[in-house]
Amino acid sequence: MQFFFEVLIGGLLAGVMYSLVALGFVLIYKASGVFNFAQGAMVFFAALTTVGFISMGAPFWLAVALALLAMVALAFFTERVVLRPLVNQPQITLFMATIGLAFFIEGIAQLTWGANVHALDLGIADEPIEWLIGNTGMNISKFDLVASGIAAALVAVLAVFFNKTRTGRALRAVADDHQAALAVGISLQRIWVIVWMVAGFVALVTGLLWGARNGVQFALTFLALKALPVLILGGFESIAGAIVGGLIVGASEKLAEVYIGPHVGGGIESWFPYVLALAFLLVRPEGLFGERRIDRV
Amino acid sequence: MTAGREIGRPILEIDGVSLAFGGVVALQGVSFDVREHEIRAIIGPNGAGKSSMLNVINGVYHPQQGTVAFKGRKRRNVDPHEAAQQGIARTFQNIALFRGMTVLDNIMTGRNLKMKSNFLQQAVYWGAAKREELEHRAKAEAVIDFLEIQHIRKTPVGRLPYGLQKRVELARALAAEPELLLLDEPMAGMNLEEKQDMSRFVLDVNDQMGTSIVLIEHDMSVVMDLSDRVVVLDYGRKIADGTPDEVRNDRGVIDAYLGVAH
Amino acid sequence: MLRNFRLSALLGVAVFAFAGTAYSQNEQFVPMNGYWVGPYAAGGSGIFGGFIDYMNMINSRDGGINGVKLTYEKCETEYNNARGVECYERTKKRGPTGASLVHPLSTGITYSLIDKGTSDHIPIVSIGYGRTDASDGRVFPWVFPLITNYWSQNTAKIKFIGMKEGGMDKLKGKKIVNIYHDSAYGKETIPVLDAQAKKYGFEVSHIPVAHPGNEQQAQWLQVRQIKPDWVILRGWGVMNPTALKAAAKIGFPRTKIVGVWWSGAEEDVIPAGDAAKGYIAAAFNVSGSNYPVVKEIEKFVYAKGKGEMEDKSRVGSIYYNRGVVFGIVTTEAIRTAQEKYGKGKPMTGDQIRWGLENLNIDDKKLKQLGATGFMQALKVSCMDHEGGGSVKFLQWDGAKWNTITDWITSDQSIVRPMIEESAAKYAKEKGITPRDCSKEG
Repeated sequence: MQFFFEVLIGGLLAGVMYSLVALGFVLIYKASGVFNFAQGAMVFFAALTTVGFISMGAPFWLAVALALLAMVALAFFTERVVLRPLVNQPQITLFMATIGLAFFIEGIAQLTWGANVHALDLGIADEPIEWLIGNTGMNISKFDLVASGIAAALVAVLAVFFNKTRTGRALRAVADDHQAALAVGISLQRIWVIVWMVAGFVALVTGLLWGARNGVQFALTFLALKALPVLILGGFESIAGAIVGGLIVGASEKLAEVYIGPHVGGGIESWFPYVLALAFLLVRPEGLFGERRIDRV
Repeated sequence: MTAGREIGRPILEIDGVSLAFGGVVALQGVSFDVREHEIRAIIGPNGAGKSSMLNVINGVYHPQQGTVAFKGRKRRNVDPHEAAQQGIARTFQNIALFRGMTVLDNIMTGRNLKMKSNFLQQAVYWGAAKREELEHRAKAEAVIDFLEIQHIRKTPVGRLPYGLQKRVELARALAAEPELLLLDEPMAGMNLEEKQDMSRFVLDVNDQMGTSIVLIEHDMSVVMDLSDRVVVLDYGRKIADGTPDEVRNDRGVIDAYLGVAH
Repeated sequence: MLRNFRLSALLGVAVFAFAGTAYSQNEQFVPMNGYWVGPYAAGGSGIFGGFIDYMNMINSRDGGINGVKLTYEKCETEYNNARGVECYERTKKRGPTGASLVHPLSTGITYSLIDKGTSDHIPIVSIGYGRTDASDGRVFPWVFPLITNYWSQNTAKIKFIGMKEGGMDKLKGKKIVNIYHDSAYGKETIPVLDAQAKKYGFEVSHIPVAHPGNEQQAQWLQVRQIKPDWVILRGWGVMNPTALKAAAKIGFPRTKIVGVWWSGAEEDVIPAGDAAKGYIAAAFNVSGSNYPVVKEIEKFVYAKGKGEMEDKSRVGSIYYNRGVVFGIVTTEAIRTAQEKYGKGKPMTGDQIRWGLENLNIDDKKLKQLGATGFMQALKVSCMDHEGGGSVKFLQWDGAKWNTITDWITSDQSIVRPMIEESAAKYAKEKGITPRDCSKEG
């Protein structure tokens, strides 16, 4: 039983890390209805830019600030070069454009900073907490706990931003109804830049945490694969959904890997969340927290 | 009925506006003006080009020919959000509210353009941003009082009945303190009582705030009661322009409404 | 460390880079179908960097091979099968005699090229990857999985663990966990391990990690339950540092984890930081720039302001040195062919195939090449397209790989029968009549 809880808690903590990735998708989807295929590439780009500046001798916080600036520049670039020319195009066109953007960002990242892999040390030991082992026998990493704390803080900040500020309200307004948003004087272009900036910021936080965990390397772009079932579960436009979806995916895939995996040859972690998400899709197509939309025909 | 308000100089001048989508002509050489403090109605049979006209004023459509001058300034190809910045607010034929947001939040979006704190201040929700938020909240509350929707202030718009949604949409437009208000069928689908309420609000807005109003409406009795002057469109052309009485007795208008072949 | 902007690579278009200035008949063309961008660029850029630098050193120091200049052309495969085949098709006819041979640097691309190389008469050389049973040269005349294959390496690894335990008989009752990448590559060693478990009486558990392997909590909690004596890591890419981190998280000693060579480059351990300290990996080439062959490259290439590595600190890294090994094997095969078919002439694919099959890099030759201890001696034959089969074990000390053993040979009594069985099966499926090696010369 103790082993069960250990797997469960470990899974929940891993799930928080998935939520973080999913959050970036949700932000952009909410504001523009676009599934941003490039989110994984943005995570990679942000983390690589940070370690790139560190390797040039910049102190950690300066490197983070410079990476954030790079993400802001990327937001402006994306709005100007990708989104603006495609305004009023079908969503599938925008989606395709973000696929192109993903390749572009990956290329730029590697050409600027090289193909090498890097370590990133945030100064938080990724080791089990002695006290917990001593008292409960459970093996929980300090890093995972801190990362969950950071993720929670990030979500809280985003919630205040979305609910209490004019820009946050404008973001929600654009997400709700483009035409009406324009009519009350909200500039779509400005909102898009801001939302990509915020998504860039989330990508940076994600990249730093995941980069510290597994190293800063190209595989960071694969994180998008982990976010997809989270999004299906949680709904594409709900921040709360991203969090809960992440927790469900994290916990269930770990439990499945440990308890079902050995009976079917293992390695089910990669596809189990998708199966779960698909099964869920049949019951609630709009996701856990997605808005049920009934379109009049 | 509209005592105490002065009809002033033209605030909006439409001159020879033509609009076509591909080969389909929506508007053809339409000219009229709207004066300060005036309630101006646009009427016409279905497909006459009324909504297109509103969309031209609002900047959604850009006419191929002709000019639109607002407050004496001619403009070319404005975007809806620029039109909003100049002081034009509107409501939509099919309600375009932010359904997931509360009534108050919807109305606050109307204050969007009046708020000045920058993005960074808002990101930390600190100082000026917070002060400003509260200030504008007071303005929004005033609009809520004016339209008598205090009781639904915190309700998500999607849950409200149709008539109230129409009223919230008007509130959002008013929150922007516009000089020109465009109302696209504000009474559509309402029962008599709701129509009377809405008529009262339109008149109050016009009267107390001095807002110029362009109104599209199907209900002739409403149009005749509310408006100072009426433009009649048919197949994208202007076929009459004048006071309600003049328009009512116009031969062309009667033909158009009765469907006499041209 | 900011790099110059290589627009062509950015667009995913092949990068053309001719070493020779003017086209001449006295050239030997070697295609460089590798990867410099994309997910696996760290490995591709390092290996092909060492490979190209070595060839340029030969050109610059010796004027080529007996006067025949080596030329090359880069083609970006992005580790993608379709692109790999495209690169092969594009470069196979270049140079006066066509492509000398191909290093696909991807097991997938190797599989895709076996039939093509065989019919085009272009040798497919896969060093440390590819199709293990192609070691049987009777069935695969055009395929050369040189130096060592996964099965050989695995038996050497068990030998190493036996040494550490104080003798092969001490393996009885021990527990070994095999954490593998859930792919064809990862599964490759399961039968060999099972065979050895039976032979030596240890208990082996196989735990798969789904691609890409950036989450391994579940697997390592299982390890913690099994409490093994050793863990064998058969990882790839991000799976490696993640495994080491996860091992640290459950407190499993890194000194008891032994990886394959695709888990044993600097790129596999640096991201794990301190968690990688003490970790051991097998290698068929060592790291370090303190070998005469690497010094020669620095002298004849980098000192002249040339060189492939934009980050010069990577010269002497595991991947880079592996590329140098590729270079040595390639040039020596060409040299061997020239000795039979005419010195100073460009060789055809057929002639180079002969050169590969009769390649004999003995200790004397290694000394001459400045590669003693850098790579193992190699003797290829018609029967045996592997030619070596030994590995050294390296241990990461937090900053560099230290060699902790001499060459440990494989257990061919286990490996060879399995190779022959598998090759015979392939021959039957494909309707190939195995060559009679006594008739080859």
